Amino acid sequence: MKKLMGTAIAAATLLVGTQAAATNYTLWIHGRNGGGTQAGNYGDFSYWGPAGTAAGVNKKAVNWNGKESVGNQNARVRDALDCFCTGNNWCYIAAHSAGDLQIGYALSMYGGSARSKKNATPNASGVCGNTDGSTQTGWNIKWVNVASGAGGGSELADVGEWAVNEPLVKDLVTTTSRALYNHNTTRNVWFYMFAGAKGTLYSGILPGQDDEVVSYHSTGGVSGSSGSSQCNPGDWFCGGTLNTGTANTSDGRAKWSFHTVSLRDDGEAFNHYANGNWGGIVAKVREDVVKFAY
Amino acid sequence: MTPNSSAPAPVSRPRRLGWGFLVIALVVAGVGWWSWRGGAGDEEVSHEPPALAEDPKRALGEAPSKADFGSVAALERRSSPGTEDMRVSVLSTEQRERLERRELWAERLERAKRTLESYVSATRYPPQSRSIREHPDQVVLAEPERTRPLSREHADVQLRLKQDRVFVVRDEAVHFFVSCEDAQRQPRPCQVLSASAHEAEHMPGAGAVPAVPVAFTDDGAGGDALAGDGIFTGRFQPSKQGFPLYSGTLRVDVRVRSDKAEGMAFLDILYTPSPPAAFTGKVREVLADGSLGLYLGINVSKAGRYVVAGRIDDESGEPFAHVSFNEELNEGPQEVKLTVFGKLVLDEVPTFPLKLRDVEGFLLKESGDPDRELMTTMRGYVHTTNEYPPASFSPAEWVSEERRRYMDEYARDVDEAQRMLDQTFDEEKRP
Repeated sequence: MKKLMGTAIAAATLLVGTQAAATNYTLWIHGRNGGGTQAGNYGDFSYWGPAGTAAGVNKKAVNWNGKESVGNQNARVRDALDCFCTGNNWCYIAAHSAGDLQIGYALSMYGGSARSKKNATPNASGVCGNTDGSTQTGWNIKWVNVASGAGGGSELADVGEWAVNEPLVKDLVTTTSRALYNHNTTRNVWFYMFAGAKGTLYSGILPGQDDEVVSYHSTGGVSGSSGSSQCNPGDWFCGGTLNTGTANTSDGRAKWSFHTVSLRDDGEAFNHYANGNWGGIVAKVREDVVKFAY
Repeated sequence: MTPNSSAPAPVSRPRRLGWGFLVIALVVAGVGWWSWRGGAGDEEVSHEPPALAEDPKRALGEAPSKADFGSVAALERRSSPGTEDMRVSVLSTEQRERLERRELWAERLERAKRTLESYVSATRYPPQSRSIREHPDQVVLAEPERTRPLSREHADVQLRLKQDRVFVVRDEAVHFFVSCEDAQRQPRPCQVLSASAHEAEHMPGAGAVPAVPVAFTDDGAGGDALAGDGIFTGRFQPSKQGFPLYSGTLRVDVRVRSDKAEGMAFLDILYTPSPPAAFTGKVREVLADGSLGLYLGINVSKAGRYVVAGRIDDESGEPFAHVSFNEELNEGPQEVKLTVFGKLVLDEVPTFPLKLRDVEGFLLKESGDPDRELMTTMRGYVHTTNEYPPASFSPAEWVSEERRRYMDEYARDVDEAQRMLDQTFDEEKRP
């Protein structure tokens, strides 16, 4: 009996020890940019704003070349997920714009793959060392917050408003973004969508409500092989109303699975741009992350 | 709280006492907030709780909420002058700080509980065998259709662009459809002046191969459904029209005129000239461990990670399930296993025999552009299963290390949030 008790206590101690080593991280995955962020440097928050700003527990900037294609750069994201979201460590994810494509792609394509457990100590390239050589299925991700998600693409890419020789722009063509991976396959991890509507400049190109770069059909996680015209309640000139939560749009379009609209910008107050100061719709995501990523 | 339990954690006595205190404070604060809100105008941010999916049978259940803890809504507006004044008069700084922490942990607890419940519910079935309702845009193979202004100068003229596939392999052809609409979305006459296919501009060395003209007609031939209906159809077969060795994105530019308005648009496809593997067309079915496994024959010429997906219809053709495969395969003759999970069959009760259709797949590259090499899709029905009685299937939920790991962690989050919330009540009892 004594021996049994001793074994139980030892096991419990071991468990506590294991838990004590567990750490939560908040990973920020940026969107399209001029390619100026330092890939592999998890402390470079230049895309977002001052690095000293509160943005969730143990925040890390997941940087990649914001001009290259998703397929070409997704390994950077997977490196970060391997680093901080395996073994005993867990992650909260925040993504902006094309960062939505990056995390969606990673989860859909590689979310069920064997990942080596890493030690959360990155080298200069952003790759971490293995812990005990063991693997696990997928990553440890609690949820994903998305500011102005471009998982459904942007019509600005469709019409050649952006440089057509930029590989990422090819991925952001609405029909391509939506065919790039199965957006419903998130490994049962929830995507909280924050959709801004303070857009005017491209209202003739971007259907429905937009934040000047991406329309509601994408930022609200509306499914389909192409975009649609979605608006705030009461707008008669749209195909439908983007309902909050997981509900279908008023014209019957389903959201992608595990996607829920946390913020619909009825006041048309938030645009797309972080503006180097955690601005636009990113501000609302940051606010939410500070509250729930602990 | 165990991961499998969906019952709320018991409410402790200190918590009940604390809640009583909180309710009083909230009523006072709420009055202040209400009076402030009356003059503050519309809310910019929706505080609606995430709603249930429209179809009650949708397996996801309710999304974890972050803003539906209604009883603390008033406190969220702590910056309102009215609220601040009222609360300062009632609460000390310490009490107010404690109430704010209580509100925070209450919200976190609410979310943690819902996250756990949602996860437990959603993972009754494995990721590779799900209800088709969870894949609303995967029920049929993609045939994207979109509209866009003909040009900036003629935004009132809309181009309608459609293609019958996005992925093109070997000798396959893609059909493009172009038509015009007015501002009221009514058909408007237009014509395709010219069209040409070329390598997408972003590809290295793009432009080395000259653009190839693509004919668009409205004559009821060559894939055009109806002569003179205003919908111009273009047929493009990369292997025979200048791109027999090219792998990657091909772009077809179309120049369109409607009356005096003129503009350009493009349509993209991803082309693979030589598929890395081919389905043999043979399907073997095995009932094992309470689930039905469909083993698809595949000859692999390039080893690597293959992503395969198919749809399962019931006897009447009603879509029932989405099945997928994402694993590494070696070179040579192999099998891809698509699982019809037993519990999914028992829960959804499809009529047998089931029919597998529209199976697509590709070799996924770890890095590169293009990121994949396509296999030829098996369109239409591929296989019809035998008939099986319900007793053949297991009611057991999906079991895996991944599921256990997530449920344990989410349960820990619930426990921690509960403990932290309780702590704010315990502090009140201290002298």
